[in-house]
Amino acid sequence: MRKKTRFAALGAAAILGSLFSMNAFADNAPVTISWAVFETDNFTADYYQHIIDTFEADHPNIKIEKILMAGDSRPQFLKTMLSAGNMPDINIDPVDLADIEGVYAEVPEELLSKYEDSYIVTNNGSKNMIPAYTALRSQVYYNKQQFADAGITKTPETWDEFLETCEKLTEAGFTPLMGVGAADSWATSFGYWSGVANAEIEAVYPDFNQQVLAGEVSWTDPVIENTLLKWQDLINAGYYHKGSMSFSYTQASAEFLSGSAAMFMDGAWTATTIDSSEEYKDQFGAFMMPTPTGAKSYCTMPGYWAVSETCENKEAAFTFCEYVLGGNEDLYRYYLQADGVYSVTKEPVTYEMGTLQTEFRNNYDGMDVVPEITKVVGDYKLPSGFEDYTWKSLQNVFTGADVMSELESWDTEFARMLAG
Amino acid sequence: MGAVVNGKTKFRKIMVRLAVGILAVLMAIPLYIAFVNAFKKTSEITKSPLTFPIPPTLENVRKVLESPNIHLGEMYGNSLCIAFFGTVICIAVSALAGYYLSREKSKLAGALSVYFLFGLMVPYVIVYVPLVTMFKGTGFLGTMPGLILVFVSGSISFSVFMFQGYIQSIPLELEEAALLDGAGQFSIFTRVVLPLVKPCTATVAIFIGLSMWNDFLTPLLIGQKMTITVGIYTAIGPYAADWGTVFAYVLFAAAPIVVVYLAAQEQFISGLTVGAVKG
Amino acid sequence: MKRKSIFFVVPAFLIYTILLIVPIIGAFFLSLTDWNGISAQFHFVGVKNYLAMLSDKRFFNALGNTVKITVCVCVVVNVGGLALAILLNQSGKLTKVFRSIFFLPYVLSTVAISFVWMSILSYTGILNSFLEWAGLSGLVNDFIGNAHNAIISICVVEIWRTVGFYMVIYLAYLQTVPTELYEACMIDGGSPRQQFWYVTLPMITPGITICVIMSIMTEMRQYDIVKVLTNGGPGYSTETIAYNIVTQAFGNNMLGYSSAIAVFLFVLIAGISVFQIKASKRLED
Repeated sequence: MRKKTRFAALGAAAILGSLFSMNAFADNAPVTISWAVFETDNFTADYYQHIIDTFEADHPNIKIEKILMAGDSRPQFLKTMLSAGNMPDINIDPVDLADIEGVYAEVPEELLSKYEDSYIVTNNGSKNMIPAYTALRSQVYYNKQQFADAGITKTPETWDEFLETCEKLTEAGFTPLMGVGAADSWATSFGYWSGVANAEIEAVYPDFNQQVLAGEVSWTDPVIENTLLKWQDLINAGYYHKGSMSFSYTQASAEFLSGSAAMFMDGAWTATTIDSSEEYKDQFGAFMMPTPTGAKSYCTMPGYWAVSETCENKEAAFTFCEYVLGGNEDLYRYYLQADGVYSVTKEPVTYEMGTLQTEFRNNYDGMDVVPEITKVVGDYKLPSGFEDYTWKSLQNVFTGADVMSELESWDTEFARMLAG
Repeated sequence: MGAVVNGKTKFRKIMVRLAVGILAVLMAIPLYIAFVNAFKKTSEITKSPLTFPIPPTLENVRKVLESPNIHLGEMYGNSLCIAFFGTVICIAVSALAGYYLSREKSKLAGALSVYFLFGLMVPYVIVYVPLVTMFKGTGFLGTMPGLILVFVSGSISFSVFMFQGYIQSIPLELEEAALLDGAGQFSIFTRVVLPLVKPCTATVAIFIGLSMWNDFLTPLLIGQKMTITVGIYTAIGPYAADWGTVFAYVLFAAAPIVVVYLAAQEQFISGLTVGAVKG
Repeated sequence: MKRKSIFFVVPAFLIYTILLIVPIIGAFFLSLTDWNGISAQFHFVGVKNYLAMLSDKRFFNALGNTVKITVCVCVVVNVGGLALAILLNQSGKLTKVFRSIFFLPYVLSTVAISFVWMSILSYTGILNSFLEWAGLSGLVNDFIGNAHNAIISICVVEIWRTVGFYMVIYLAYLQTVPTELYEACMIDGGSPRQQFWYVTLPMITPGITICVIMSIMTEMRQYDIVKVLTNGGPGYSTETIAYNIVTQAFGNNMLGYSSAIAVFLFVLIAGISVFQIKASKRLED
């Protein structure tokens, strides 16, 4: 609707040969800023409404219009919008497009100065993203009751213990692992990739991104191959739920919570979901997924917002970003707490964590933090679309494809995307 | 067909009827499932998917109506606007063109016929990227008229093809008589030709109206307009595990078209039947 | 008779040319570049994109799937549609009801019905619970999570959706066959089977041509069902060409390459249509 009136206004302006600039129309009327978001169990419609209402109450001249990103791939949605010339004014999750010139506006220094320096990144010489939060990635959630019923008294700490746990669960008649497939290709490999493979790769190649971009390491490296073969062993052993590949992420998550499987390698956000659920609270625990070689490290993922270069009222858009991301401390706390993520402002903002979230966080005590290969931003970012490709390919691995030939296809796609 | 009716053919007839009946039931099952389960709790659905919802719950329907992401008025409005104006404009321009192409025997008309036919072979997905690129920055594609014209452009080949074929089968006498009465070309078209091509108009309207109402990719990629199809696709996202709610969404997407179809099913089928053959 | 004014054809010509033909020419042009769809600059790379297709496993996989779906659906809906049309080519209330039921799926939005089918075919979905209930647990299967089954599921949904449409078109053509011909055939002692082969089939050849072409064209462009039901997965095992084009263009920023695939698809469809029309012309003569 907004576009329509704008078009009509444009037409009118042209016909009159008007001398007024567009600002003349907009001076007194409230400005509308579109904000592209996605909904989950944690990010509900009410959650976004609360943020918008709080902001609008303080800024009566700015209206926020929520745009839901459709489909399974947010970068793909945003690129579609961009191509069609309908880019939403504020993007969350802008990383995949941030290194393309002219997509996002330079963030004012004054706003950036509020965030910790380590989170500020430069894309092609432009500081075009606003740090929003930092998130922990994945662990294994487990069903306490099923573990007890299978006689498991201690969560596994080594790969062999993990296999033993799976075996015990199977013997007790439980399905050890829940998996995801269907439309949500990202979730099939998410837990294993960010929890295990990433640690294994970084243990051998601390500067993996730099090296792979320079062609010094290839995706067919034995470290990657072996790690994925271990994953395939879990699958071939029948530890995963038989219906995994037909479940969307929400389905798999619901199946796990209702007891269809004993363990689920899932993201940090689930701790918050469980903590805030009357039904499932305290029934689940989390442990760090052991790695085959014993490599120990974990990764975090910084989250960003960005304002589109096509936004007509960048000032208003940045006002909204600043307000939500720290300007209003209570709102920032509300924003972070919902998904169990952490503040990146110079003045840390904390909140009371639930039992499971605390457990999740404590599991990382004394461990190294490493970047997540496919989520690196700035100079060593992997080509756009490559991560999507790995998701698809890892689904092939899940359904039994030959690991080596899949990895060879990574090399081919990688080279092509770098060249293109 | 046959005049001979004996016991054996009668038995065979009954068996055929029965087979067709079973097939019809099988065909209807998915729609039946969607309908009855929209009024059940999700937990009941997997337990007894085929039973009638007694007592029915309106929980799912309420969830859809109360969802802040669903603006049914806007979605139905957009879909209706696209399907209605798209169909009307497409039929208007295609009938005109079809008339010209069927009555003119010049080389130009022949070339144009082939030119219009060309579009039938286009896989529409080829068009999105260049189209979006061409109009980038003009804002044209984001507007309703822009989106409608894009839909029209995609249906012109088919409609021109149908009208041209149909008008060819109409005798010239009536038009000649009108011409003798001193009527102009355009009024001959509106007063004499248009009433005669009604069956063809019905066929084309059903065919392209349906495809525009149900189209998914075009509003998603080009206009980013919340049509009912794009709307439910977007809104279902986080509820994919909650079948009751999914079915309620499906119900809202399907209800208008099913009502129209049930009210006018004879016209639908006979409309397609008449126009299809002559076209 | 007076010549018709060229203005009759102008509105259609303009809309069609600007919004369809020019973009197609644009696609040919883009397919020769390395444009990423966003940046201001691009280079001409000649036929590089077309050569790249030759070594792209994912593309051949999509092509294979498209052919599989097209052949399967085309054969079943045409044979099934014609059979249904013959069986329902009579008057009577029940016949009308049957026709309406068979046609109903076609009027619904593909996206909406794909969600319904997802609830049926999912591993913990309605079909498996029904099989379980009926004591047929041996038949319980993963209908969309397994590459082989997923393609079949896509075909089943598409057949279910379109068979009624082709039935209606065939009915239309059946009604053009003069009853005298059947009577003549019967007087000559022709069996129902002979009636079908020597009267019905030759008389409805144009209908078969149209239906076959329409079903091929529809299936070659298959996107919606794949998007909702499997999203091309598991992996990319159920991707179709149309799905591949959209992913390469909007997911991977390879507009040049995606345009090359799109042009290929266009040439393929045009080739099949021309071949088909020529072949059936020969058959009719």
